[in-house]
Amino acid sequence: MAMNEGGAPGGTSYEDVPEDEVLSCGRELAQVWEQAETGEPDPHTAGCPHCAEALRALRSLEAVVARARDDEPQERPWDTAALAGRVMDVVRLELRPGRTLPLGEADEDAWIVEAAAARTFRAAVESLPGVRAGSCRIEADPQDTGRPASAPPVGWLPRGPARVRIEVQVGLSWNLQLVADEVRARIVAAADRELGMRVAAVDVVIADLLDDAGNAGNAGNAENAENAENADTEGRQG
Amino acid sequence: MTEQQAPRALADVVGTAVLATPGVAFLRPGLAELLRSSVGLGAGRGTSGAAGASGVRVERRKGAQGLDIEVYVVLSRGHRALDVTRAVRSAVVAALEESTPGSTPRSASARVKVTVTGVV
Amino acid sequence: MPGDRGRAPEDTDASLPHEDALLVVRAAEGDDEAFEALVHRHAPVLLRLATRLLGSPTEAEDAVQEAFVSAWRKLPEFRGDARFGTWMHRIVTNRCLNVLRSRQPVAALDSVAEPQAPEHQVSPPRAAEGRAAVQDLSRAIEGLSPEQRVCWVLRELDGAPYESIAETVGISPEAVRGRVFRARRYLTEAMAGWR
Repeated sequence: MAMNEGGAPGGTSYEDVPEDEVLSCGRELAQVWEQAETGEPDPHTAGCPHCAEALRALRSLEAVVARARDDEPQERPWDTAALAGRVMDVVRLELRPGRTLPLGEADEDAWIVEAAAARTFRAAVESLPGVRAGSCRIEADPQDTGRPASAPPVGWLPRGPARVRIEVQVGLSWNLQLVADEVRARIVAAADRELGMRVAAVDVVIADLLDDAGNAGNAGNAENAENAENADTEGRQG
Repeated sequence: MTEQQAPRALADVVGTAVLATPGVAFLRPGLAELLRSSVGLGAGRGTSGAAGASGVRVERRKGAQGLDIEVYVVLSRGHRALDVTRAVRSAVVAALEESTPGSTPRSASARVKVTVTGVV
Repeated sequence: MPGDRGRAPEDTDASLPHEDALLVVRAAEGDDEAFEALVHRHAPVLLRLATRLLGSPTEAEDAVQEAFVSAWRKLPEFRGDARFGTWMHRIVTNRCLNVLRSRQPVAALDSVAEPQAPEHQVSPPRAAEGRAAVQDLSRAIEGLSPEQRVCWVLRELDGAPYESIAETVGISPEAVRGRVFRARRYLTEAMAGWR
């Protein structure tokens, strides 16, 4: 072939491949191949036998590569379930439960981790049509003054009512004020009926608007989220 | 020896009682360790939660009569978490009474902390 | 020219990025079920990528498994400035690169030498010939350096643009072009017997 010696696999290695290899016609091989890749027309290459030979080598390789790609099964017999199982075995040894939140009355010693409570709240919120729940954080209510004198250990909330902050994505057909109220009501109900947790306040942030197909909007999202957040009302219970 | 074995045996009693409580799916030992470390309990302070009762810790209260018991449970969906934790506490107290008939009830001075670490 | 050139890897990811974003937020806050859903959604694409990079389905599964575990650990710092699929693509690629580097001495050239195929010049049936050529190609790929191999696979098999490969591997697009060129140069030589 028209290429210079030096890159042959028998006995030599990839390290011997020069990057500035020049064809007999004076063109750099790298340049000829790159032009072919970008589809840039070149009057010289079109009529040059050395360039043609170099291009033949590239095309021939590409034909085998295409064949190799075609030979890949569309759906590998991957055991995705087994892989996920192995991944989750490790993950469950390294859980991030979040803070530990009080259940029940102030004098009880019952607790629930934030991750479990958040999952309950998200599920409750998603029972509303066209509503998806994202971030859900639960903290001590800063306005609660009836705290016991002893400070709780790090990561454990004081035994007072909690404050929930949840981000939701809602369908375009929802009235934002109405959906915020509905979300708040579902969380308060779930906190009482499913957990037994005292909730003082629920902050609802409408983080995104979804079209009918469930896709988030694009431009203007941030602005909508801002407006929604401004429209957010704070519902305090009892 | 008995000083160390006794809490371990008690942990088994407690663990069995917890698992028999309706609404409890299983005990989650890994997370229990994590939460304990965030409470500041050193790893060296008693290893009573071993052998079949992981997710349960039983400790004698220092300088006083009584037991400190910690239970870490994963609940089954469809049960009110607070109600299950109350049932767990009752079951633990009852199991401690039963395990020591005749002697001073250890349950009388047992503190039972129940933490829900998950819902499945 | 292969038809799917020029598409970024995330475009071949069939999953809805919007749904991903939701699951990522939840998983970052400690929801392991949300993370499990992400694993199921992304495992097939990543396994195919890793198999292309490593040439071994078994090693690919290990690499993808480790990549997911590492992703779980890093998730709280993942700020969503990239799509989850793109992020995982990068983690898997770099893990595979490390695997290739660590196996370097084993895949010595003498074990894969002489990939030319003079015995095939008697024109065997076309299908068989194509298969044999593909086999020779996979042997020849073993002779590439780990860096060349990764860049070449991402370019030729994954169809990624040079810029996105550069971002994934953490080198300049020019360096990627150089590596892909060297890989092509080496492979055209190795496959010379098939012309």
